[in-house]
Amino acid sequence: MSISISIKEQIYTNKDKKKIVALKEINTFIKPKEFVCIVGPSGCGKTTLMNIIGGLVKAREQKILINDKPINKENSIAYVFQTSRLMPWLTLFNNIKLVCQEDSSDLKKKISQILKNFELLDFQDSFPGTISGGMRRKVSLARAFVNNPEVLLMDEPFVSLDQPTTENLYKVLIEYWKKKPTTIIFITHSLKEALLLGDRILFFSKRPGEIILDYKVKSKRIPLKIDNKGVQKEYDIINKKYPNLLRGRK
Amino acid sequence: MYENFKSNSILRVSSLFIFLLIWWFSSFLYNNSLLPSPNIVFTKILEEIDNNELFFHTFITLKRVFISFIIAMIIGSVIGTFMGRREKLNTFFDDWLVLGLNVPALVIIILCYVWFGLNETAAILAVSINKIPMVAVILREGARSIEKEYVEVAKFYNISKKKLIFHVILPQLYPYLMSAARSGLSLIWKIVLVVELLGRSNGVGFKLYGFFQFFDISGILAYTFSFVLIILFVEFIFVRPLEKKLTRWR
Repeated sequence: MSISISIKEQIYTNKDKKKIVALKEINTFIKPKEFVCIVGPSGCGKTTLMNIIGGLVKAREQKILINDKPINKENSIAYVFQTSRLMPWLTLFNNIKLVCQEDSSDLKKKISQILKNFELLDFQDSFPGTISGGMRRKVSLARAFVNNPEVLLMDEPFVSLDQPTTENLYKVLIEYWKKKPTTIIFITHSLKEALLLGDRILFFSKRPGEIILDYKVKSKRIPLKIDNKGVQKEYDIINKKYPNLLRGRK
Repeated sequence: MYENFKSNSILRVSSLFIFLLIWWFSSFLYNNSLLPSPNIVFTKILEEIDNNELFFHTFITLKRVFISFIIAMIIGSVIGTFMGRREKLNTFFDDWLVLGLNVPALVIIILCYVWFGLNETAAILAVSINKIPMVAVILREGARSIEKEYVEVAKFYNISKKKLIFHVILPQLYPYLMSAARSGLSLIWKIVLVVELLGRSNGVGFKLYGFFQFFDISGILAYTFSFVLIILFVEFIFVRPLEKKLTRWR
């Protein structure tokens, strides 16, 4: 599914009744099955953009098209949040069941299959509080993929995890994405992570955020490790050419 | 775990034994008609069972407790939840709630009997009205503590209203519902006795009034202990296992 995003300036009022411009005008087009990363400084409006695409926030003037049609409730969009956001009172199986749209007899089979694919089948009756943080993120990935979403929005899904766990989750994500390709928009603070996972990177300016660079990634994803030599090389080139890019200036 | 259970059981049994011992010893020091010994009270319980009075009146009181409890829990929970979720509604009804909490139970009972007559409806209404504000206050706190991020997950994945209520909202309210139920049960049966004493011709409260007129302390204690035993039975056989089941994820 392709996504066309066109948003006019996004303003919100904070607790002190002060008007804050979260986003400037954003216009971009994402090709079907493309893995797009958004990189920008804190508070630049990346999550606001995700929330607008996901329908959690309504922009003043917005035009989000999926396959040239306005986004609606029929579109299957999944969200992987910064924290796993699993319901602690539901077992892993029921957490995934909760977001399943249909209630068919095959549902049990479908959930068991996805738990198996994510190597979680043995823990299906466990509660989120009894498993590790890395495993919880894995469950939230499984939950996101269970409905075969047309669009997958990921907001810093691997933040504050140790390197081996993060790399394991990269592997799980990319393998599953290759099996069931979908359009992914992935927010990260780490340029290396964006270069490793993404096909394309949208660099955002400081608040109010706008796209300051639309960059096509050249590095290959293999090996799927953060110290991938190709990624390191490309990282150095970008840093040399645009030393202030990660601070939100081109 | 078994050892812990065993030592707790020993503590409970020895506590009960010491209580009976103090009571028995005190009854020796005082006049037996003012503080009858445990065996006199036990004989009275058997007497009342024998002439079918105890079961009949206890059943009538239990029926009133149960109906008032259900009414108070349903209405109080709905009011409290809405007040917790809607700030303006809370501001509007907050003073009503304070009023409800502070009007003496006796005043409500008398008013209900005066307005609706000395009948069953007035009795049930009086008990329910007394309890509703307390349930509402507890559930208001519960509704305020509902995690926004779990509701966002539900919204994002477009889950049905039924799933939202039963799998996302209610599990967060269970501890508050249990707390309201427990305090409700202990308060309601006390109010029911007053209601029966003032305006009913059956029930434990009515019987207590009769014993009071004849200074029959053993009768008063016989009915009191029988009813406390039933309430403890409900607590241990129904409320605690239910609470354990609902909060097993903790």
